[in-house]
Amino acid sequence: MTTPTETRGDAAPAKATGRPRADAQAGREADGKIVHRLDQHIVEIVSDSGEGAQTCGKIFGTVSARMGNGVWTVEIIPAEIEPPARSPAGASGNRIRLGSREVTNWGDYTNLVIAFNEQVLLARHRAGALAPDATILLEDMWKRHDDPDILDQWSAAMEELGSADYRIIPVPMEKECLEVVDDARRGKNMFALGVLSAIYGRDRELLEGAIARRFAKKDDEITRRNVELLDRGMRWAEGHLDFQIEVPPTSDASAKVVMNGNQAIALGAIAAGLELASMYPITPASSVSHYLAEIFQDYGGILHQAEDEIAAAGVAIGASFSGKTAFTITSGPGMALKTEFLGLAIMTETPLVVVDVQRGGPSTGLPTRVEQSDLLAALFGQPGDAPHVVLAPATIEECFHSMVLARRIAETFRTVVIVLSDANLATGVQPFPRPEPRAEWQGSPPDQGAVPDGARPYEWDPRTGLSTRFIPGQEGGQFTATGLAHDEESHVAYDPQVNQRSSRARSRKLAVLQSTLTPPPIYGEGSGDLLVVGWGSTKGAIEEAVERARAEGLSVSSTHLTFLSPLPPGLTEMFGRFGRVMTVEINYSDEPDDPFITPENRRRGQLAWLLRAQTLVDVDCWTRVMAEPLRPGSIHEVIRDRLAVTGGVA
Amino acid sequence: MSTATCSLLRMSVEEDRSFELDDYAGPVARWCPGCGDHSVLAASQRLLREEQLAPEKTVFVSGIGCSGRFPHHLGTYGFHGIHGRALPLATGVKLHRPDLNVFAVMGDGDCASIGAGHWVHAVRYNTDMVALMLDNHIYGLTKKQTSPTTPQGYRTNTQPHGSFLPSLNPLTATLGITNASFVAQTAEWIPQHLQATLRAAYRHRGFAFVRVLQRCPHYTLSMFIDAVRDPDKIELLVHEDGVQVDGLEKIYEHVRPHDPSDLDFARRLAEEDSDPEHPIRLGVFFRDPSRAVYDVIRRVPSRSAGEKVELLNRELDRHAI
Amino acid sequence: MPSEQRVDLVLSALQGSLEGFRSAVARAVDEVRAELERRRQPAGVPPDPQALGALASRIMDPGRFAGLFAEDSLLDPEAYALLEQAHEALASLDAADDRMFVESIPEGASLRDAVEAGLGRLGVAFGAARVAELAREGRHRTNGHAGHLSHFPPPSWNRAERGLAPPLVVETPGATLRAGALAEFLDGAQKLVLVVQGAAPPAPLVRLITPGVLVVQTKEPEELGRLADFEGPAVAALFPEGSGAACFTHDPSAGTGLAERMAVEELPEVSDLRPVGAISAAQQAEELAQLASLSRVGAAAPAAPSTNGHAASGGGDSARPADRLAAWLLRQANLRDLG
Repeated sequence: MTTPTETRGDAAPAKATGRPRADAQAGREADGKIVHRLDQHIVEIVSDSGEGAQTCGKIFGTVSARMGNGVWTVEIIPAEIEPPARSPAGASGNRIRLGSREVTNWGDYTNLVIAFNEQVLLARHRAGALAPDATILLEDMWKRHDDPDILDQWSAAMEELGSADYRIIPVPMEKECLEVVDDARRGKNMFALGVLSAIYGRDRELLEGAIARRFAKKDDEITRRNVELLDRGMRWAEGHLDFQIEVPPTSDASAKVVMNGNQAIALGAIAAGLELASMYPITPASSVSHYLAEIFQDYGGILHQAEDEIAAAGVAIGASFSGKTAFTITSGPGMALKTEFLGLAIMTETPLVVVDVQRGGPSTGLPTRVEQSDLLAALFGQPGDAPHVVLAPATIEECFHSMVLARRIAETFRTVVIVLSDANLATGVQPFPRPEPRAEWQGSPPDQGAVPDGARPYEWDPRTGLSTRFIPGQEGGQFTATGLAHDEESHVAYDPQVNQRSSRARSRKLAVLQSTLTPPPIYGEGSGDLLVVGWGSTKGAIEEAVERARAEGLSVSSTHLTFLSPLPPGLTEMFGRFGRVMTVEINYSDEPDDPFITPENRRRGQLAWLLRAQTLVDVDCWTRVMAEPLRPGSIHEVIRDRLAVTGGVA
Repeated sequence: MSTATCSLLRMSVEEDRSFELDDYAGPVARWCPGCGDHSVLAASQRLLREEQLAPEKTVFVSGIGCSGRFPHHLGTYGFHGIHGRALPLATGVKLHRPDLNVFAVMGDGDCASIGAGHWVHAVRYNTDMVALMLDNHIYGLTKKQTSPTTPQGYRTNTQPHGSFLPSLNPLTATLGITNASFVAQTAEWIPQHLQATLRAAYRHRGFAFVRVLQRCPHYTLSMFIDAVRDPDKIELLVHEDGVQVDGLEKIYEHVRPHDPSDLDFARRLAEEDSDPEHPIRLGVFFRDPSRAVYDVIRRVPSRSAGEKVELLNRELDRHAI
Repeated sequence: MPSEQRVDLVLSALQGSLEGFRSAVARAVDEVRAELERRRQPAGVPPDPQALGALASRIMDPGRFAGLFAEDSLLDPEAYALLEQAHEALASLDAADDRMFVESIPEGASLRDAVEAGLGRLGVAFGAARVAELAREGRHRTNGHAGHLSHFPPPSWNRAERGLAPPLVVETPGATLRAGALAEFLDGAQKLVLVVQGAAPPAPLVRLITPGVLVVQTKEPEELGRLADFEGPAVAALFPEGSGAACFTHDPSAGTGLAERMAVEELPEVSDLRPVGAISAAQQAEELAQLASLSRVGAAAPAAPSTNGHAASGGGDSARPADRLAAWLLRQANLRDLG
């Protein structure tokens, strides 16, 4: 069996990613330049940390979104906080995928790079991020540098980069910037923005507006100088480059917003009427709290930074117990610490929303990198029988809306709802349809009406397991919530029947919730040779891969699960309509043909594990933990492989 | 009352009520006969009646251990949480609902061992609540294991040759924490003092930490027997801003006037309290009502759903393309 | 400074009080709205597919979700209608700007009646909340509550409601300033601010000095911020700059003794008093004399300053009739700490 991402260098996805080559079919002459008209393209800007490549990338992404392109932006994060200059570990920047329609994932390999030195470029080359035929715009001052060490580094790098089929174009960034500013380190990013903008035909007015907004807090002189650098970059590109790239805008003119997944979770939480968030700093979840810290109080909300992950859960549960549902935000290691408290919330039927922005694990793992390895822990991590709800947004838009749903379910079903986001959604930036917040989503203020005579705090409906929560302040509702086994009155249970009855009530609620779910939509035909099942942030990449495979005539479809607990209805029947079913996930699974691995001992992808148990279907899987999102090209190859199509990707 | 939570609808039917002890009674307590928890429970109920706290506006939060059952025996709302974590739960209640009267009840292991991290920070947050550490120097419910306050040399099931280390002094620990605002010690076998201490703690605005010395009838009776029998083993700290019980000095003749605003002196008094030869000091060691109170600092205006939607639309416009 | 501008300054000084009342109203609007949603008549009303958000509409059946809770949501049509009316009344208060806290009195009208009208108008918040609460619990009376939704004055408020009384700013001609009539409103946490226009008696609020009431006469709008900070009832009169009015504060939170509580900043001459409207010179003199005697008690502690001379500077000449009266009045007011 082939392992596509590990050998991806052999499978140059040139056409799929639209390389701007002289022989591109869409190429045409304009002002003596070759114009490549493409439906999607991936560009990245990379520099030493602190040289402003991220700012440049963000402005480029925003302006592109405003011009109507589909956009998916990913931050390139340096491995260290203050890496030395000109070191591969310091590569910092932004990677922007542009499209002529909605872009749902980060795509495959970078087609065009602008790099501020050869070492950060080397980092991207070594990371396997670049298409083998990528176009590279590289600051060329280093090859004329006085320092012999730098000259040595330059030649060694050139030799290493020479192994690929890159087209490297030197750019005198430093020299050009020094015409405008004294310290070129503080100007190259705007010059680079100008170069990229000329290549991609970005709107000069939108760029100027974006720059003005970015530097709004500084004086006008700074904005003026940055615009001058921008213009200089545009002029240089116009005078020195022989090509342009045109990615036409989408036809969708509906109102859109653009943000990353963590911002969407923060705004979604506010839209959901959540009024208390408690957390402890942890990557990559923290930025949710950064955003909330800025704006939450304007909405009557409190962001509480607790002394530790455990307390963060406790404060949220205490708040929920006494009023509106509260939430806590964390990542894998924090989830582990909160476990006992989640059990308490489930046992006392105190509503709680927990956001787990997953990162690589186990233990400290890969703090800034994406993984989907918390699924089984989220589902089954609490000792004892602790039924609760787990759902996973698949897009940045869903990060927003999943909070509305999570709060409502938590409150209605008096339970814990875990929202599984991940580092890919957390830092990815994408335009999506503007949500229209509603007053109903805010829900009701805590009921302070007197409790009817005779009502009990756990009046479990024998059919549904549901009961009405009493909230402090409600006269006549006084009871003591307890993590001990308890009866309908919340009295500690000594009767052996009680634990059976109360366990049934807590469990039944999930079945009742499931009865309100619809089978997940299928992408592609409703039956066929292969069904790919995914969950979370892989949706865009899976669907793009399925689309490519279907375009080749392959009988493949996909479906994506939002609810992981309870699972949506109809899966067994749906799986039966396909010859094979497999999951695609970003977590570790054994390869079936690895030493010692047998069908019996093979550890499969986490969703596969779950689906096999719940449906008795022989669900296969393909998973990778390469510290990055999955590429549609890789999934496409896997689909071809599973359907035994021979020959390279067409 | 917090504007964030008062309900006009509820207020509209509010009638003047007065509460009797029965209003604060829950199911009969099942602690062992002679357990100090009984005494603290009775004193708490008297406090609630004295202050006429509406039972539905009062929340007792507890951890795990014998003391964990405390809220079950009250007629108020209660949250019997998990071991060592009463304080985060109580903080959450108060933060979200400043209109509620919040009490946290912990044991010595609960507060000073498994929950020690929360204890430090709760003292620093200085959230407006009463925190009772019911300190019987032992893990009772789980059958006689060493707790942080078990005296050195005392034999337990986990340290059968005697507790290895000197016991932790919860008073000096609390007094050492920045932003501590109320630290008191009382004893379950002197009900008048217990009562007066709870009252002072309740009336203090901020985190009122009260260590209640109490006997475990099974495992630590001997530790307290001298202090219970011999009033000379007790020294009362008295001050008009502390605890003063009329007539008590007739029994307890060691009386030391102590101004609770004097932190340095409070620390010295507390330090000496570690010395087993020294009389046990009861009273308010320290009180500073001017310390920053977390739930007051964090109070936010209430926003209607309509206002929030309007603000949210404005925020979304900032992200619009 | 034009009256309009002064009223705005007063409103901003009272912001704390306004906020308290406003957020309670906002909350009540939400509560009643949520109740209306929950009790929406199920027959024939399709569930809102967006009720659970855009994500849910793709993967859930909102109808089935709503159906889980359908049976307990019925409310009889009359109660539902009342709930709707209460919501409307609360929502219109919620939507109104801060000018709703202002009442203007035409020349010749009664100050007391105007205050009652203003508070009755704002008190609709309490009336509507009461209607909503009765309706949702099914304890409403047929046609029994319509009045609550248009006028719900202080005598109908309960203790809790008086504790959340809306502040009221009254623009009043000086000639209407018969402050004694306001005593009945000074309860709970009521704040009243009289913005005085034209000729006025110099010390009308002296009649309202009782142990628990914060009383302020001033010419500085910023001074009124202390009303919002005060927990109990408070009344203030804001006189135009340059008017001959007395300036003083009686602040119950300043201490237990009258000396600590009284601060007289300005005490005008008594000689040239003329009738203002129907308020006779003698009545005005009486008020000034009372203030003078109170200020002397205050002056025992040297804290009570006077910018205007002799009346405040004298020692205690208790033989004067005005002083005897003052002492008697104060005894009646149960100020036992006069010494």
